[in-house]
Amino acid sequence: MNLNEYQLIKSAQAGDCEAFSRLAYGFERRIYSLALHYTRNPHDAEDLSQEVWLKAFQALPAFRGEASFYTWLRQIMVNTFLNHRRGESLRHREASSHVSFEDAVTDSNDTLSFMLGERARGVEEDYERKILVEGVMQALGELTPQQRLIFLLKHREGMTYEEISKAFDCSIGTVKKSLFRAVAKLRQQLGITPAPLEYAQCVAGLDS
Amino acid sequence: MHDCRKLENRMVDLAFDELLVDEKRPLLVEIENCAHCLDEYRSMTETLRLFDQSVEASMPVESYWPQHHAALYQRLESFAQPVKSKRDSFWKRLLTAKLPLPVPVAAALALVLLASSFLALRSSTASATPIAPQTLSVSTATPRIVEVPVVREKIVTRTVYVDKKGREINNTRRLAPMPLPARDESALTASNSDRGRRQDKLFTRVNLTDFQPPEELKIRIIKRRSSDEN
Repeated sequence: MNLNEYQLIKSAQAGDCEAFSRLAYGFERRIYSLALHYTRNPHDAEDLSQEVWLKAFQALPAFRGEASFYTWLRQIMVNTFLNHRRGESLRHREASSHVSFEDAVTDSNDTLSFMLGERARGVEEDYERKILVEGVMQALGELTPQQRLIFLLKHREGMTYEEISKAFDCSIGTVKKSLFRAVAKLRQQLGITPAPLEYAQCVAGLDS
Repeated sequence: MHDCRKLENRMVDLAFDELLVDEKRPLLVEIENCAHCLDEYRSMTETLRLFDQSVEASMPVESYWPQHHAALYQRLESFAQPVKSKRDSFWKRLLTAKLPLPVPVAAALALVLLASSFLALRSSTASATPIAPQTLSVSTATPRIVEVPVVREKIVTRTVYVDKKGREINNTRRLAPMPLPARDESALTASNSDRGRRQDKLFTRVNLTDFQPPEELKIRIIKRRSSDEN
């Protein structure tokens, strides 16, 4: 934890919204990305990621700096994500609190096209990206919420088996099984053909 | 002996980077030696690669983030406002505070509260006299003179000394009458006048000419000896 982050945390603990907002700025993309792949819906991801931040703000006075801020925040995120699935309470949306996606989206019914629109250089590339993202989102939908979250935490967040098992209060074996099933389902849904050997070696850290 | 089933589990560890470098190389060699395992591992890593591509592609454009941040800040502010107001109102917090109390204790407290409030109400109603509404009026009637009898009282204090010794002698004489020696009249009158002089010495005369005796007379008798005066 650097000095700036420490000072921001101290100010935010005293109820300073501005300080907390600056603190959130460094992590909001990560949280949003996880929320997006967990919910598979930009609106729900928006709601869920903001709920994570609100809960973190509420719980911040209890933060004692024993772990890093992000580790602490991630635990709040895991709990919020799991509760979101259990309750489905965030389905109803508060119109006032939403970022207006529709203003920027050319086709309001397809938010993914908005996300990909500016980045794509050509129509063909745009289409390929869109197909890829939709395919992955659909494949993620085949996983259980727990499998999906375990997969995201392991693959995107780089958490260890032990950390995940603690966060989910389950055994390391359960984490491994969930990961194996998640990858198998994704592979099946995406119709994956084997990767080149060089890439497989690279993933294993043996590219030299 | 190579076992594809067993290797599958270790493949997950390898793909998710849970193995040490020393463990990775022999495992990868084993995977390369089995066509089925190699296909499995390749498809696993390809899945992860595609997923990463998708994550990158699905992230919103840069123009989205200022809006997202502003919305978050707005929600934080609206969320923090009631928290602050809650902190300010002490009584509200006190009244809405949740105290985990055992049921008997809570019941006893409620009873004490009820009893004390009942007593307080009762005492206040008893002490409060109904105040008649004051009306400002100017009386035009002539004042009536009423004669009220005033009790005049005068306490007269007299100290009466009784010669106890002499009385005791008299009493003994009365009880056992001795034959008196014959006395003549002159001696008797002399003795009476002598007694009167002695009494004058003891008592002072008070003029009671304008004294009107009250209806009530208070007499206080203090038993003392003449020697007490000294």
